[in-house]
Amino acid sequence: MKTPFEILNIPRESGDDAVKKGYLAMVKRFPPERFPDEFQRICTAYEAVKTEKDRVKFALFDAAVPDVDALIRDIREDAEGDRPDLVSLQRLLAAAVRRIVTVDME
Amino acid sequence: MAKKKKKRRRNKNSAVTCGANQPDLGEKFLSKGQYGQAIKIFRRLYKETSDEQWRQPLHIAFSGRINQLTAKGMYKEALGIYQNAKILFPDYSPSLHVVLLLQAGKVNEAAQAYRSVEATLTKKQKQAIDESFAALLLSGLETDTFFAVLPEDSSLRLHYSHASRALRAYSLKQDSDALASLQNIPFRSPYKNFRLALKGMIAFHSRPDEAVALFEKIDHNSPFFHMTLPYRHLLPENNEHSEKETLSPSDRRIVRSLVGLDAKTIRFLDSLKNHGKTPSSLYQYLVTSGKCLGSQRLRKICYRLLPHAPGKFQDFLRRFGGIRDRFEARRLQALAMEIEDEYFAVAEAWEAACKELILKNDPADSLKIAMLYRHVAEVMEKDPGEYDVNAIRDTLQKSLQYDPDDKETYLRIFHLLQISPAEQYRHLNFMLEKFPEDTDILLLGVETTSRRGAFKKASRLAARILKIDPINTRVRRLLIDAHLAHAHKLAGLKKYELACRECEAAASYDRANIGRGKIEICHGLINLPAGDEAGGMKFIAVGESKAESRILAHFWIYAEALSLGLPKKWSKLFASRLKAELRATRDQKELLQIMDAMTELDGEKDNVLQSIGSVVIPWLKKGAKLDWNRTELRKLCRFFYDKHYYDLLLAYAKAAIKKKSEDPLLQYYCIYAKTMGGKKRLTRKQYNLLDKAWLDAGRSGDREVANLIDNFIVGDSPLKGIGTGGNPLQLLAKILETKFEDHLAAGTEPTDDEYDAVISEVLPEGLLPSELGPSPHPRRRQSPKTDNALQETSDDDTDNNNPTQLDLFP
Repeated sequence: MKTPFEILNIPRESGDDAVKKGYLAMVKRFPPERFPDEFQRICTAYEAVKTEKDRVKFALFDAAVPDVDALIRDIREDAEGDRPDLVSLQRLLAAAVRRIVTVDME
Repeated sequence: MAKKKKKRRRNKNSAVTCGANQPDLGEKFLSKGQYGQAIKIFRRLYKETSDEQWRQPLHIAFSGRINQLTAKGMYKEALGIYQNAKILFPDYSPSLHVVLLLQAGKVNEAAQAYRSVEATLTKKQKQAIDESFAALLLSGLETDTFFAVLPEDSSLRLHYSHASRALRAYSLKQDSDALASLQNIPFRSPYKNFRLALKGMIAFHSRPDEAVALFEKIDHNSPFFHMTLPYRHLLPENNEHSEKETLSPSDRRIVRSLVGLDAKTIRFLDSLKNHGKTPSSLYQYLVTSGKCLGSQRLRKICYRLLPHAPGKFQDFLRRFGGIRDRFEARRLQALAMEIEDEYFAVAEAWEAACKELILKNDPADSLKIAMLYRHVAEVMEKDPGEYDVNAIRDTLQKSLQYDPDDKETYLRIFHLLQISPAEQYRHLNFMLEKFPEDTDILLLGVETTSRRGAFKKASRLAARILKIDPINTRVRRLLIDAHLAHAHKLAGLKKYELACRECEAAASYDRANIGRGKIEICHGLINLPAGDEAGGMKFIAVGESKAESRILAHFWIYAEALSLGLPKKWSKLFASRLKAELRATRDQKELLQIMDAMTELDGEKDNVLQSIGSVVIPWLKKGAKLDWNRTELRKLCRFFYDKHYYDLLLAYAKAAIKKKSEDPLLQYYCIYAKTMGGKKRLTRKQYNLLDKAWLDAGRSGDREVANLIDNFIVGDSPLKGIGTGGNPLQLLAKILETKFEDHLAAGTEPTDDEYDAVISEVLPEGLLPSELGPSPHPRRRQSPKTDNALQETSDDDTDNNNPTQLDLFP
């Protein structure tokens, strides 16, 4: 489960301006009409660390139970996935031909 | 071994050859999916009898067997079965032959077979075979020999270069090039599904939702749909098709490459969901199986779990080393206590953490210390039995030493000082000095100073707010009220000229008729004792015209006349005018207006309220017969309930019950009014009705009404007369707690004799704890029947079953 700072992609020591900047950058990247869930996540994170008092409050009293689904999603998001190379794609295509269900071909 | 094998083969053959009922046996094999056996039986039957009836089951058996073998990846064997079938059925599915040749890797043969049967195939079959060729071409097949057998204008040949270029560009992350190449592939091309698949694969990396939509558009038996399997496997909307398909080792390799995680981590993540039931089990699973996540990440997750799994604290220290500092350890401890709801110790735990931070003497920690003190105060407020208001206030004051500009804390202290108005007023003045431009505090100032009768100051503060926020109608109304109240005060001192000036000042703030004629009425009434009768009446007439209705205008004139203490001749005149107006009107809207106006009279002297009541109440009582809706009736009853107008409450509640008999609140109002607000004891019937209403309210989830009834029933208890008020059971429990303090501290129970001695000392003679009425706690509250039953049983029962005793010594 990511912290609001990680969601907004800002360091923990950020000031009000940096937090706002991070928030706006993320909103620009994930506009609400295309990414409603992600946008909601960004807004919640921003509300949690908006002012200095919010940030101190978060540091002292945040006790949200790490959500397993969010944890898995975050680990997957953090992992840097890569594309298969051409040879792998060609193998995939060759295997795909063998996956055709023959009954449907009669 | 050899013997055994022989035996088995003999048995097998015997099943096929020796059975008397061959067709039944064949059908049995077919239904069981044993197509090999079925083929043997039906082929023999077909050959021996040449009967066409065996043709269809034999055809089904061949198809089933071919399908079984291809599903197992035995493509050459499947081709062999096809060729056997072809001997018996020369017209047996030519398209299947081509596909089987392709799957067996005999591409050139497949191409030749395709050319020879192309004319006999349907459009759909041709499309499917073309797609298979297209997929094989893109899979790196030697194109020259294959293209040689294709006509020059074949779309397989024409669009191949675009598709191949797009595939290469995708693998090199050149998405725009890939998309540009895909643009050249037309809709009717055998590569059309490839276009959708590759577009989906490109979208997969940035817009997974779009990828799902694109993959869904592909024909589900197309090789290009099968190509997207590793991608679909990773998408959240993992549809039913991809669930059925299992990943091959090469698919898994691609999945790993796409995710960027190794196989072990992927397996661990898949299993994590089943172990996250509780924070403790999640922690345990993470530390035992989650090493693949890396020590840094693992420590971070486990650290966040610590407050929820305090039992793992030592384990964490052993595995990951120490906590940052003593403050952090205390903080985690306090957080764990708060999560566990251990309120008796939470405040102390947070205070201990706070002290650790103070000891560090770092100016950067000031805000943290202030926030911690505020949190301690919040925790204290949740347990008012343990901490008094002064302790909470002191804690908040401490927080202000570290963060002196926190307005919220000043406001919280202000509300805590309600029990000491003088101190509260001093605190208000301090706040006004500290935050001179803050509208919240100025508004609080207006309200508080008005309550204290300092109307001049109130109007000054209200004027200051209006300068900051000129469109604030609430403040404007408060300002007008403050001036009018000041005018009343001056008129009471017979300073009529000054009072008139106050009215003029009030009128200067009256925009959009928010004064509703009250300013002019007040001005006119002040003019009357000042000797300007004509001028006064003129003002009153203006006020009448500005009021919402005539009845309301007369109500205000009479109420103001009484409030200003005008001579009797005037108040009599205005009372008679109001009565005449009331006689002429009985409208629901106006009745509600009068009710609201009466609410505004809160704080008036008792004689004023009584005089107005004597005129208005008989009129309001007649209004009970009007056709009210449920919301209006509830509102009216609530008003009469708050004002203790028992007659009116009874009349309206009765009328309401006649219409909507099942409303527990109306039932309560009715009984409340009948007992004059609890002054008379409840009868058995009333008690039962109330109990039913309490149950109904509980069932419908209306806790407020259930508590209201509960408190009322408890208030009817016989202990009411002897104690200091409040809940008699709670009172008794407190007394017992004090008496048995030593036992409670030692964790022991008092003896029966000790308990009886205290009970006889505390309660009036002959009164048992069970007679103190039902417990205030809804779950513990017993029905009246049970209470009576307890009363009738012997004293022994009270010793063993007394709920109070059980509560104190669990």
